Amino acid sequence: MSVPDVAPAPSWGRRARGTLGPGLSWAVLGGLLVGVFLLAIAVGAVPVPPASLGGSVLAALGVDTAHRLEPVQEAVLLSIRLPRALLGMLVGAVLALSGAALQALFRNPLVDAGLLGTTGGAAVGAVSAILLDVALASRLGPLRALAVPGVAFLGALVATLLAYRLGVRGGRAEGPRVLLAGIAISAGASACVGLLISVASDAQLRSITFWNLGSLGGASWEAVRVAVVPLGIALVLLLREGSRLNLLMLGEREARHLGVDVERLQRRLILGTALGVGAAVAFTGTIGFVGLVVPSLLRLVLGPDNRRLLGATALMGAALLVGADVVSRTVVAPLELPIGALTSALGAPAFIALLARGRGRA
Amino acid sequence: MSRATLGRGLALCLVAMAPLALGAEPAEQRWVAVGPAITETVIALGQGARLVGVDDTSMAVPGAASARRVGYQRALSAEGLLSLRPTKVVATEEAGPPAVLEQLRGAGVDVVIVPNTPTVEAARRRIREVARLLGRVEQGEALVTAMNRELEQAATRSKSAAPRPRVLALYARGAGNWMVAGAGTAADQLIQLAGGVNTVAAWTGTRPLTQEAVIEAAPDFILLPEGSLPLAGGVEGLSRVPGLALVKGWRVVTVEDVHFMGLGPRLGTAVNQLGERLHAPAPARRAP
Repeated sequence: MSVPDVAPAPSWGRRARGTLGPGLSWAVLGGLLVGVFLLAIAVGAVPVPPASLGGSVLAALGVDTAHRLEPVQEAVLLSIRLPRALLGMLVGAVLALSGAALQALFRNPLVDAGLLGTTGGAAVGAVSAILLDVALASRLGPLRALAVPGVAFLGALVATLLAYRLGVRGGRAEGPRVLLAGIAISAGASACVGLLISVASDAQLRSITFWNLGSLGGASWEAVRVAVVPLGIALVLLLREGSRLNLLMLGEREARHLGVDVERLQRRLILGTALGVGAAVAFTGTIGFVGLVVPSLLRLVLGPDNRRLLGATALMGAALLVGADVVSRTVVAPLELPIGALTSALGAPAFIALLARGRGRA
Repeated sequence: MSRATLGRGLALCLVAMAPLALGAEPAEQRWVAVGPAITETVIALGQGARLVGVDDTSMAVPGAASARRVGYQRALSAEGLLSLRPTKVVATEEAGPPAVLEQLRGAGVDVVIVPNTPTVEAARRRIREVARLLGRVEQGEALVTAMNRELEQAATRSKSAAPRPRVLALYARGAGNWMVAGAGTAADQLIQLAGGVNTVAAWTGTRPLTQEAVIEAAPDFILLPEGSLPLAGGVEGLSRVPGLALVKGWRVVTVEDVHFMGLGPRLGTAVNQLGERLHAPAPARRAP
């Protein structure tokens, strides 16, 4: 499909302030992500001296040194921090990128996957799986750890695709209809969750609460291996659509004239976000505001060109979530703060500030 | 840095350090207990000093306060736990998330699951299992024997007493959020063993308190965990709880919070105390 690679006029908000050149912004965001990633590997409840870490790396490369990590420290690095940081990066990137893509698709800076019913559907799935956990545990055996994410993922897909189907009229998905359907489905989902909660035992209720607040605590290599498939597909699907989204922001008709297959674009984006956000929510619970705040912040700095914005939001989302996770697992160690509560606590004031600034100019 | 390379490094390290570890460190037992019944048993066996960490609900156990809190039993943090350098994590079947337990096992921690089933038989098994893990089998048997004796005492008392008092077991899930304990709960066992009748035994598990249920239950006693009484605003506040305000003549009895969460080694003592209070003559009431 050949689409003219033009950068059309930005859609909403102010024109590209573009204070940062493209090269510089990539360097800054990439550096930020690498820095946060290293931080996430280096700090935590179990102290890991850098000298021992260096020694072990050298030892692995065949150089004999005096400093080595203790087995527990190795296990913490390799089977806890590393998969956790990787899952955090993937999930953060997908949440932020999905937000940016949906906002461009619906030409509305307030849309995120929560509005499409994705999060609500996942919640119904997760809560059902938590309630059935005892019954399922004996049958699933080693797969038990994947029961909650698996069912949550299905719930997210079903809810999002349902919202999309309801939004289609005359062979065409209409943005506002899709959103309204998504809101209705979300309301239905939260009603279901309410009903399910009323039959939950205390322990189950606590599990549901923790799931709802989000956590990267369940990250394991197994989880990363399973989650990387939908998350990776989502990243690839969404990252390629920058130019077409730019054209779409001119208006649907204009985009069609410029050769964009709008229906196909809609389908691909909604499928991509459903896959990605569904998997993200399934493995980590609901982590709020990343999809809303990261694109809005970057739009202020980089301007609305989606070709740059999409990649940048993915990088920054990844950095933000890994960073928030570092905070969540260190400040009250050996306990952990729920990361969803943390991102919302940071995100809500940031978003209010953004809105307040915007109001001054409008 | 590939995983395989790191894995090789890890293997090398393990080989290199094995003789060191064996020679230098004696097998020091550092335990994390998850579940109040398990924590209580460890302490009752005189091994409380081994506890380096306990879960949230165990914090209510007398003598557990010196251990670090490791969070809610279903939301444990792998690294947080490992930072306490435990050799063994003894937990109820509800401990999780499963991935965290796997990570702990992967880090060389011995994770043992001891079911929290609320029956007397399971309580005996629990004590024996924990005692075995601690290498205190005889002390464990002594605990079981003492518990059996106390339960027999309670059974004798409740047989001679008539009629059996009607008890409604309540606890606060949060301020103003009252739950009743039906069949299959620790509170239900406690009531039965103490010679009472659980007024909501037709229900299984815990349910939200409804006004009509209280009226139908017509309880002689309201059984509460101590921690829930302040949430109600004391006995005075309890009588204003919707539903409880409509029925008259009940009295309040409390037990330690841990007895609502599982049947531990002090079950016999708790049952006897409760039995005494349930069968004590009602204080003379003035006509209104």
